[in-house]
Amino acid sequence: MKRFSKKILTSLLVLITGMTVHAQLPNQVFKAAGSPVNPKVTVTWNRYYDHAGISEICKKIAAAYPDLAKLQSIGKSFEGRDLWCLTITDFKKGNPDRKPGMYIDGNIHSNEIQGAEFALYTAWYLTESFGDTKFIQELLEDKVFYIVPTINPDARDSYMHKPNTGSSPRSGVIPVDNDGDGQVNEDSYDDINNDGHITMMRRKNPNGRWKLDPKDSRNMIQVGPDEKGEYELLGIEGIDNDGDGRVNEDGYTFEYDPNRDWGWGWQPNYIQNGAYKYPFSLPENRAVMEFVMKHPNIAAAQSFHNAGGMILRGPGGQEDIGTYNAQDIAVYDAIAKKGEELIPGYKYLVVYKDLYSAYGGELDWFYAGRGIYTYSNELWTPYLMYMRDATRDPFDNASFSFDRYLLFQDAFVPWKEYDHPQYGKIEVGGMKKNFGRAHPGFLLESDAHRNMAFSIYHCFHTPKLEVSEITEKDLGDGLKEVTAVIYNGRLMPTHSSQDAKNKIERPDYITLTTSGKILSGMQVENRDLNLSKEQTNNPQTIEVPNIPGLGSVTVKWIVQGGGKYTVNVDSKKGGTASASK
Amino acid sequence: MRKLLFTALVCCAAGSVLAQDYSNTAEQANRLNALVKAYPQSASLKSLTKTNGGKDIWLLTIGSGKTENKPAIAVIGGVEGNHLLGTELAIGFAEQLLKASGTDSIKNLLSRTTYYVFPNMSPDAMEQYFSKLRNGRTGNATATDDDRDGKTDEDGWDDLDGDGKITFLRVESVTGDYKVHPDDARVLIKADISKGEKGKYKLLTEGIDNDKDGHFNEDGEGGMAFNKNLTYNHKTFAPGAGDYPASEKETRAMLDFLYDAFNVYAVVSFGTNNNLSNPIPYNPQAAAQRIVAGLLEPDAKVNGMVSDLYNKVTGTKDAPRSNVTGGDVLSWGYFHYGRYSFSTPGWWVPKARPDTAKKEKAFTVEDVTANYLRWASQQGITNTFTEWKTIQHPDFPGQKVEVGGIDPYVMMNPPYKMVEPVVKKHTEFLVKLASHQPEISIENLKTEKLANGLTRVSLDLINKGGLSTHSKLGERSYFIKKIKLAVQTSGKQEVVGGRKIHLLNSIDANGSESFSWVIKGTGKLVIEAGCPTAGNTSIEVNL
Repeated sequence: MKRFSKKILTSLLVLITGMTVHAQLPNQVFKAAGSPVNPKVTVTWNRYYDHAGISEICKKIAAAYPDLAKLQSIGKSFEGRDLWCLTITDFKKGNPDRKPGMYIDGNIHSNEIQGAEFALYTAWYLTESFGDTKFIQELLEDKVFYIVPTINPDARDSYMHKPNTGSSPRSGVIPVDNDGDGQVNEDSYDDINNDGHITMMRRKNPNGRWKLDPKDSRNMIQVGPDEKGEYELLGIEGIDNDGDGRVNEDGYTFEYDPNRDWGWGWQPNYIQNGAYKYPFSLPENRAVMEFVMKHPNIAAAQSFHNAGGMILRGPGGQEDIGTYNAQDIAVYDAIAKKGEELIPGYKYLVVYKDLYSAYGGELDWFYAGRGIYTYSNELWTPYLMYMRDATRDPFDNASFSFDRYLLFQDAFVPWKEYDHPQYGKIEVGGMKKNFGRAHPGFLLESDAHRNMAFSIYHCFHTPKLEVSEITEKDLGDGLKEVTAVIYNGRLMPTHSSQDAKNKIERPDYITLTTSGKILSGMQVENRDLNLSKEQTNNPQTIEVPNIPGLGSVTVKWIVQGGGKYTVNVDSKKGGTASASK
Repeated sequence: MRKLLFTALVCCAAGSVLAQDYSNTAEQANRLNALVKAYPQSASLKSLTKTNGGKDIWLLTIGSGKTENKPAIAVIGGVEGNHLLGTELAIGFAEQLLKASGTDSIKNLLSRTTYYVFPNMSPDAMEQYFSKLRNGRTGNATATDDDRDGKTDEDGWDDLDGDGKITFLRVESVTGDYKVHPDDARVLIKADISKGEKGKYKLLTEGIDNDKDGHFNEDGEGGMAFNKNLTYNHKTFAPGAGDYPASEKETRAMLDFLYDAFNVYAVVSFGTNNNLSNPIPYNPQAAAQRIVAGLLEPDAKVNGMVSDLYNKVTGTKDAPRSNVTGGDVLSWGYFHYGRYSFSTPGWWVPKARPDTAKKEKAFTVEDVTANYLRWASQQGITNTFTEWKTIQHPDFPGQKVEVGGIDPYVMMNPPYKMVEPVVKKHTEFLVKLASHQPEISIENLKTEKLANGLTRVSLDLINKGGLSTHSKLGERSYFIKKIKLAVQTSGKQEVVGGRKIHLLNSIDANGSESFSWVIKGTGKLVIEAGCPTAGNTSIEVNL
């Protein structure tokens, strides 16, 4: 009987979910500006999805838009989950591998969940808006997006389905002996009240230094120096499971930091807390690295974190100040300052100087290791609660008032008494894991949209090359001088200066095809003053180290005979261009 | 009968005294397999991975019983693909040690120490020595774009004189910066411009500028070099280093194994780096940097002590100074792995004294090649120098170009007949090093009855070894286990005073620490102590 009713319930559920999949009838809806009016793939953007949920949305997008979206697994996580990547471009126009690309991922820190929804929103929006938005059509003709919603799916599911705080696990799930005692994960948090949220423990104690906040009795505040307290705080919900005199010192909730595992400026754990064994020793990051190495067209990258409302660039370590040089910082500044405008409450900051030193971070490898302009956004800022400055302090009154008046106390676990094996009678309570770092539901979509707009601006400014001029000049004696100007119409150069300095990517090739005989080829240094530098070997294809942003390079050839000229430009990060005369 | 014959064959192979030259990959594998067949109780062999060239990375574990529970030394050979001796030292050590494993002293050693032997970390490159073209290669089989021009392996060496070895080109040129050595006309040395000298030759490695980019042999076959591919101070983008650290399968296979081998307390590698002949001095500034760049003071002292041991055992002298260049295994072993880390080439060309009978004089200009040629001649070593011979070279039309010079390999690797005594001394060193191994011991156990059923238990935890249980730097590492001292109560026993579990960062060489507990209860109580790098022990206490 029990089994039977369960089955009915499941079928009912399937029916209900099935119904929501259908789009509205066109005559029932009216378009809000800038949003898809009747999307083929319906996604509710005021909640979060576990890995299975994300996988399903990815598959639906790829199925609904076969000419705009392709889904592939770029590797498996430690526990065998797929790392899904949606390639978004206009597959009917041009070769996607040769378009300047933007890589986007989220959720490298497993508790920083909304990065996955933000990345996924970008894929969804681009595909659903393509039909009626000219700008998006042009963008996807020129560019390709590689979107990996979560690069830490194991621990994303762990965060959602196992007891955690808002700040755990952060890591992945490979077990580590955190306290070096030879046992692994023997003393984790304990969900004393069995609610899936790891909150706080307090105990009534006349010698304690805490009391109830008179403005909101759920909140604890410290007493003044001359005041007597009522409570002591006993830390995060947990028990000394292994009897070593320490509580919660070795659990699944923190093993290592996947964002200290990347192959630039990597430092071992004793210098950089959280580092694992060597760069890319975590399978998820290794898969991303291998994907990036196979896609040299990636010119821009974005990774989503939380929290604090920041648009971050490197360097992560002071030692790399010189790596980020002036020309590249100018590009970074131009894009990120636009970002500050697009995303109210977010500030453009530099990791090592405004945050803390962090070696082996993802953004440093993307930029310094591959020459890719990369930002990390710290999503969610308490500014968004009341559209004014506030802090992320869990004991901040603004959080309590926001929870009381806008979330109707859904974000708080009320204090309740429990028996603790070591502490005796205690109370457990506090903010739930889904508040403080993750967006509250009603603010999720609008912030996702703003952050996506920043990514689109970023991607728009990857190089766009064109052969803007081909001129023939008769030198007499059957010799012709053919000059070509290659223009880059966007902010980014084809090689960031870090790239050019280390020759990370090969030079750009500018090739002349003609029936005549090419006697000499050169890059023109100053056309007016007739200064040039000859390339004696293989003059047909001039190799130029860079084509600057919103700038051009000029090349010329001396040709015997000839007539019709075709100039092809071939740049790894800048794409291709061609013109004939 | 068949089995007997087989055993006899194995014994022969294990002896392998008849070998005339260094072993190629297949012969190395045969020797290793012969060892595990001959000494199944003391040796086991495992392939950790295959390189991009399809060659096994072997790990030979030597020890008895549960080897993973005993303090261990990692021995690494083939650190550089042109250092054949390094692999020979690693395999030769294993052979000599196991041959003696029936003796009491070695039996005792293997009951308390484990050796993890990585015989050859550069099998792709080392096989070049046994190929038709000897060129001193250090890079593995990964295709690389060494000059970062977008093309891979497009300009390698070329054997212009067809003698099966890559030597040198000298090109007569007014812009040349080399001149003939005043004491040996075969040798070229840099002209000293500050002394008004003029060069006569350009000196290049043997080859053609195949891709016509103005550089010679800048991007040939041979990819990543193991001793540049590790994580400490990795020279990202430099030829042979890789685009990121630990990019190669063989590198990762070794790191994956060693990071999980918590029992390793020392790493001894055979390669061009040398901190055994001359220890790395303590540099307080370097040691204090946030990114630690120098040995911490106690660790520098250990380096000094082990270096003394090395020099005494091997009797070697006049070692050339070595510079660690980054991405190397010596630095990794200490700075990233947090263990005591040592490296030696094992052999170098001795300083040749002038032969007065031949009316030789001391060199007016010190030069390694000139020294080698003098020493080689005194040893009767021939055929290691190619006389300069004029050729036509397509990149230097109308110029005098000669092929010749010193052969690859010969300055780093002694003739094979000289190897055996080198192996013997290094085996002795590796055995003696283990006698300094950290060892945790419980001493001075005392019980005092405070009342009926209430006892104060006290003891000293001692490190009997000559090395600290952990390097000073290793104490900071997350991949090294701490010393755990735990009271195992049973029944109604209860620890009413003191801590049930102590975790200690380390105990110094010959150091000790005292502990006491107040225990309520009666009967037998067990106290356990130890850590993987210093072994485990326990003691029973009668309450």
